[in-house]
Amino acid sequence: MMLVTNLSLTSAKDIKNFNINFGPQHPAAHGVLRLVIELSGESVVRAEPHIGLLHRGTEKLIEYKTYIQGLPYFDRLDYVSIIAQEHAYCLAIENLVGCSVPLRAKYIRTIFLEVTRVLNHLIAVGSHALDVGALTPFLWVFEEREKLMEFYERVSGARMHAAYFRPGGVAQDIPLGLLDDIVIFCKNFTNRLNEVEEILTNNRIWKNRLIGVGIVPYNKAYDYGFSGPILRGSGVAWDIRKVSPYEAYPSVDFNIFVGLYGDCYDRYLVRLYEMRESLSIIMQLINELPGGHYKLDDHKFTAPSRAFIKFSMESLIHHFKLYSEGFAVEQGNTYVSVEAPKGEFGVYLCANDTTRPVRCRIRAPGFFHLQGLDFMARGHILADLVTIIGTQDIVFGEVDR
Amino acid sequence: MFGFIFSLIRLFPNQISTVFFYPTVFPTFVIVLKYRSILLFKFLRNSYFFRAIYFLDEFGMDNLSVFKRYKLVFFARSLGFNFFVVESFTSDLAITDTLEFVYPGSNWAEREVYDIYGILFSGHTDLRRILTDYGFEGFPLRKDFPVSGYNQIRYDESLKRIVTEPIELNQEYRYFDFNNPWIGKFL
Repeated sequence: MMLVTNLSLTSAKDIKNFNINFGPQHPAAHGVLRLVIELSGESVVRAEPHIGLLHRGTEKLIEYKTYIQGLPYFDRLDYVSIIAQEHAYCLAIENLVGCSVPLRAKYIRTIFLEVTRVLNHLIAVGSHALDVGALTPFLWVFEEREKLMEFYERVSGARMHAAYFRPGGVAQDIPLGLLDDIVIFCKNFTNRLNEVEEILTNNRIWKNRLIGVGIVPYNKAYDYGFSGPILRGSGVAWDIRKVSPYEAYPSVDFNIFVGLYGDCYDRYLVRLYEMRESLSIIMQLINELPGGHYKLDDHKFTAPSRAFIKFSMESLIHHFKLYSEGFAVEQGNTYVSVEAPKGEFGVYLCANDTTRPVRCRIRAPGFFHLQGLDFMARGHILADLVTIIGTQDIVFGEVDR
Repeated sequence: MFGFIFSLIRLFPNQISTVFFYPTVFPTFVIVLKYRSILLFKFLRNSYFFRAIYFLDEFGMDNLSVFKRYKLVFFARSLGFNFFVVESFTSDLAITDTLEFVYPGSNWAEREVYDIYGILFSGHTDLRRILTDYGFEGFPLRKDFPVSGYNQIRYDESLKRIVTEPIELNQEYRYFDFNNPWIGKFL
């Protein structure tokens, strides 16, 4: 109180807002975000993100790689929701070529897309809680994440950068016993989610820190190109899995959740319930998993199996040609967007009859979310800014590309 | 269905060169413009027939073989599931109108286009580089920019600062350009 009266006595001329640098090494900056914040007292007047510290020129590099070689770059974009991105790229290539994927491959893909969604939302909720000050859920969540990464490892050989989806299907069939373990995981995981909810959802500190913070009205969400949980948190029932179903989503029954107020708490709940819904999707798909090919049987487009190379001359040639010069794609443009865990992840590919794309535009949801940080944080105090960065679920791999 | 597209052509006869329609899950309208003006985008966003209020993306493409080498592509969705793609062409010398005041989300998108292609936008409030390094020179996604770049950066132990020097590669960048006989042969 004393301070306030003192301030009001001094002339307005003497008071100057305080500019501080937030990051790029700050742990709450989720990687390499540099924020220049103008503070009036403790409240944020302007928050200006400086991005590009993780810029690797992915779009340029893909122009110099064949279609298959470009695929692993997508794993490295958003390194916490890995498979969802390579999926968008595969869909774009399949769209340009005009091929359809075998049904079994579609189901396997959808199972792993939902595993990826859980993987991403776990770290989103966990690190958000850590930013706000609750350390415990973060530790529990990483325990579960490790199990999911084990599924990745068993199916593709890599814990994180799987490169599992290929144009025309998936790299290899599901190994024996993996689906059993995924079912066991799904059964136990509901309890882990209950534990996280027990510690957060009705916690009054958590509620005080989140409710009413970083409100996004739905029209602003449209203006700034928000998507995913942030758009749904603002009350818009928009989910690309629903409005334009791809892969096996038409045959599964699932709900989408929308928030009422568009604040951080709504987005937290949307993420939590999406995880529960993902579990039900995975269970439905595992129950109905059909047999058949796991990738297209056209070896001008997908690689033949290793076993065939040993005794079939034709397969050896196909294998060599595919991995040295790749396949050529007819001239055309395509834009494919998928509901990645963070929002609408889009790939715009332009082909010109060669083995390399002319242009590959990556529409990263985080880029547009981060742009809205300024209007979301304005008027809130510095501690709320951390909450808002946490709720946006930013990963710099995709923001900087 | 096409009534509003005809009315759009009637309203902007000099500006629109072609309109394509693709009846996919999202009915897609590709509107190719001769030049870009804000008015058409305002119309797209605010008109009752279009309501393309959901901004998605704006980006550039480069084609060295023509004079107006850059293609600017703009994506927006309407609430009625329509998908609008607006394409316009521009050159090194031209200055394009910004869409920032129609779609606020295009602010960073246009900063990125400026950063990687060097296309200038008139009326943009904050046209600075966004993705590349502070003090970066050149426009990296242009087709005449080499993929290995011009400069390399390292920390100099004796100077105690980061120095920028011309790039030194132990091996030249190898670009294998094959003739592929398989174009469109499969499937």
